[in-house]
Amino acid sequence: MRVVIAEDLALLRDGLARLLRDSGIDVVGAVADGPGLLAAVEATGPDLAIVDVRLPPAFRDEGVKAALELRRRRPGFPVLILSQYVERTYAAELLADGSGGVGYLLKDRVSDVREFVDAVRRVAAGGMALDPDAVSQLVAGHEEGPLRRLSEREREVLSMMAEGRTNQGIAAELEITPSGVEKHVAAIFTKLGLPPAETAHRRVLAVVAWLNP
Amino acid sequence: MAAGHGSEQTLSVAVSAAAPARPPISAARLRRFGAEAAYLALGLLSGTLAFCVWITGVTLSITCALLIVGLPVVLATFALFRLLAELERKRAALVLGAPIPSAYRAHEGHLGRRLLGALSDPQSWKDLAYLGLFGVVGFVWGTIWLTVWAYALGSLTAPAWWGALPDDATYLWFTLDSTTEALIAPLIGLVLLPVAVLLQRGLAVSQAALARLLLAPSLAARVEQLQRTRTAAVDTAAADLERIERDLHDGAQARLVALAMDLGMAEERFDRDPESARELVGEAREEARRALSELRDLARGIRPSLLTERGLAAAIEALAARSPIPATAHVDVAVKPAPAVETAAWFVVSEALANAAKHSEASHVSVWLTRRADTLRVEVVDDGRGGADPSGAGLRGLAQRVAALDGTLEVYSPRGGPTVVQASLPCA
Repeated sequence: MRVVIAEDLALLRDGLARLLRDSGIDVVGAVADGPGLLAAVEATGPDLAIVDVRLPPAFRDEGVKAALELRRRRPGFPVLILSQYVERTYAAELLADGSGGVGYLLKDRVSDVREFVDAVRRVAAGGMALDPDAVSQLVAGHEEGPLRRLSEREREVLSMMAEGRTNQGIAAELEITPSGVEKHVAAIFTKLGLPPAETAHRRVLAVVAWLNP
Repeated sequence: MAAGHGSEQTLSVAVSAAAPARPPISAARLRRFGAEAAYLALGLLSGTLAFCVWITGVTLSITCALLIVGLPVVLATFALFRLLAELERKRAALVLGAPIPSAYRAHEGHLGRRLLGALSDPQSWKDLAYLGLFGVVGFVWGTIWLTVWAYALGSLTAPAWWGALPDDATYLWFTLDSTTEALIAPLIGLVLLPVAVLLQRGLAVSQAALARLLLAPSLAARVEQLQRTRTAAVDTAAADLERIERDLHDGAQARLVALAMDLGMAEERFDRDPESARELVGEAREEARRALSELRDLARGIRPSLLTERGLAAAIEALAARSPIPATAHVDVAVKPAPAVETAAWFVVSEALANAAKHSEASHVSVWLTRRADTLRVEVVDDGRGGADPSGAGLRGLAQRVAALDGTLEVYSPRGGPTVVQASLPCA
């Protein structure tokens, strides 16, 4: 797998590149700003971009803007956003097109190398990886519309789907059978009124519905 | 001219304070005495100047105001009056402890508008009144002061010089032509000395009171000014918080992420490559150390720990001891000022010492902190080559910090030196 990194602090850029290479992931580009990211993706055609939220020149949300632009040019291009803080708003913006391939993690998560690399691979494959912190912000927020119809258990399942877990993973965590999880997932899809489609895509749409109540 | 005048006061204060000051005469008293003398001596000069300028300016203005082409002359007169009034406000610091704040309305635009602005600003007319009065008072007060001191010191030293007088010369009310009389004269001097000291106090205080009465801004102007500085203070606080957030984000937080990353990688490697894992743990420890040191610097930038733990004098002395250029600190602050004032004073000294070390090529720096009445006065004087730029980021930041507390910061630094950084911080 080939990735491009956009991170302005050399300390973290180099560390991240080393960590990924250690895990057998090919880092084909490491840049420090938004335009650099767009150019590097054009030039190297990677499978995924890992992007810091704050990038030069203003160190506000240039990383998110660059990622959105990237996905506008290449719909569904997998992007993993890394940040010191997670904001529900950014997650909602990135997932808004409903095409998946979005990760949004706290930088701290890189310390668990195996889980981080898992998340990288999952996002590259079109899946999701929302940080548990972002998910807990969602749980804490008030819910309106169809979300109110979800049961307690269904919400738990939905939040794990947002983190990017598979049905097996959710089953293990909640100590229920995989078929039990499947039933909850199907109920979520129905209650949120999601049209029949490929399951992975519906999972993304369910989370989008949650992010944009 | 403004800077030159300001420097004289500043330096005279520093020099008088530098005189040996052991009990029974305390340093603070000696300093005040010197300041009063300097105040009256300068008043003699500036009073004479004010008298000439006032007569000329008023006469010219009245004559020229009748003609449209004369308007620039009127405007120039008001500008000159304003300049003199500003100098007088600064001179008053010698007695009042801090310069009298000025608060003119801001006027921009073409000549006519500026003229109208100057004419409609009540402070312009108060300046006019002050300079007219002061033209007489400054000269008369200064002359009385000079005469009394001349007689006091002259009488004390009479035995040394009476022989040089012509035979029928009158001294005070008697002819000084015998040894007995020459020995009585010093007794008169002894009486005159405390009179001279008290009179000097009275003259200086009354002159400064006149200045405060006419040159201090009206209540409305003062409110306007406070509003302005308060807005600036709020902006400064917001900017400080943003800077701290950014420093944390790019500093300690990033280091801790790198540390976590190193530890994560080490964990993965321990089984297959223990040697490189050990190396990573070493790097992680180094990152932890740097994160700690960045946090420490950040905390120090908010409020120096010694200030919290030991107070102003200890913190300023520690700054002086740390200065790369030899520095001596004289802290005479009996009543502890508010924490915000202490912090501001500390930053003024810290920044001034750092600037001196970077740019001044000085061989020595003196730091003075004195609390007189409700004002904490901070002075950092070096013997370097001068030329400091008050509009630089560091000094501008200091000026904002000081203005936020309703204080004033003045930097006097001609080419060739010396550099004097002086802050007055109200403690009331």
